[in-house]
Amino acid sequence: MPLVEALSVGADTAQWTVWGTVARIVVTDPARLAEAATLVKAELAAVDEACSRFRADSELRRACRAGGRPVPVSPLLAELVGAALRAAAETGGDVDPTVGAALCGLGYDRDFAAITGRRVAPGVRVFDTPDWRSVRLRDRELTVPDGVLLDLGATAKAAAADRAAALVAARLGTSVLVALGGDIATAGSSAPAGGWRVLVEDRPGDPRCLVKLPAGAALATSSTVGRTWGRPGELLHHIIDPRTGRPAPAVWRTVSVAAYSCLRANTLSTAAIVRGAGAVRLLGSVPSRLVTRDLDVLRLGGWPT
Amino acid sequence: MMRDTGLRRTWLLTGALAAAGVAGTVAVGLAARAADAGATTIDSVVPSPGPSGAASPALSAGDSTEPGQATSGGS
Repeated sequence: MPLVEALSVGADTAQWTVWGTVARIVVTDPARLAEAATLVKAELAAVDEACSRFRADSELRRACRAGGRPVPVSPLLAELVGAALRAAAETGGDVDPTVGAALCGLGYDRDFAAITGRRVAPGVRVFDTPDWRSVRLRDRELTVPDGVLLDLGATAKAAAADRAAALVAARLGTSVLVALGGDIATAGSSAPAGGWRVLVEDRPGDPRCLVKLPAGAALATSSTVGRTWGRPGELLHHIIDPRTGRPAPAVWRTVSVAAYSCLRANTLSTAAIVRGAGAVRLLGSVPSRLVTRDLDVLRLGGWPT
Repeated sequence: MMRDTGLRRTWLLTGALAAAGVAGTVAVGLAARAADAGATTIDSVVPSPGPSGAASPALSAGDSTEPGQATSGGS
């Protein structure tokens, strides 16, 4: 079940649904809220058009249908694919954009809102995941091996939050928080007194905390219980271990990471889920909060208590 | 007789000290190796400095009675 935002919407806040989750923006200058929402919606639409794996007409899908031939792509798609490939390199392949076919094979083949409630759980099937290094990006020329479907979901939503926040701050001169489900980016020179207040909580009833982010900081949360589908007793989640082509073992229920970009935070929170018990070593001194299946909370890197 | 006994004790003590030295060296080596294994390696993340030059943002705890402005939950 995707995130359902239950916080109130004040004069400084706008909220709507997108990509099977909730988009929410908060500005320090409420007079610029409407313009900010327009900018953010346009940015998200551009990202969707560039890299949705659910739209047959997206640039990404066209590149994946090119039969392994190089195709010219827009600066936006080049940036998003580049970000995904860097995330793969930085995490030793834990966050791999070539898991698209595996996700489709497991039933996650359309916008998440459309698969909620579907009884799809091919429990014994295993899907090969091609190596991310087989994808070539040279400037604005992208080559996707024949038969490979890219899924930028792990990085593109976070990158979209970063881009949208930066756009609003630069164009409108207001500080802003952009939240796309678990992915939160902030931009602008100031934050509300004490910092941006973010409630960190996965499902209702889970351990929760309120943290304050300084201006420019970001926070991402990845979950093995957030986007699930299947049937009772055999629920699948959306974070794929590229080495098995299956949802990563749920060592952690939830991992939240703070960084100076949402892309960075999401890359680390996703990799932590994939790495399981190795997450603590991976995250090291990065501010992070990990919740076990038994709802025990582990805080690292100065995450406040 | 007493001299033989004394020599034997000396050899025993020397042997015990030598064994302890070797064991200590091995222990230090193992500890160093374990420390290496736990240290930051290529498997760990590389700090990504922010605008202030700090490797990571400093979060502070909010008052649980304060309203949040956004939720970071699993998505």
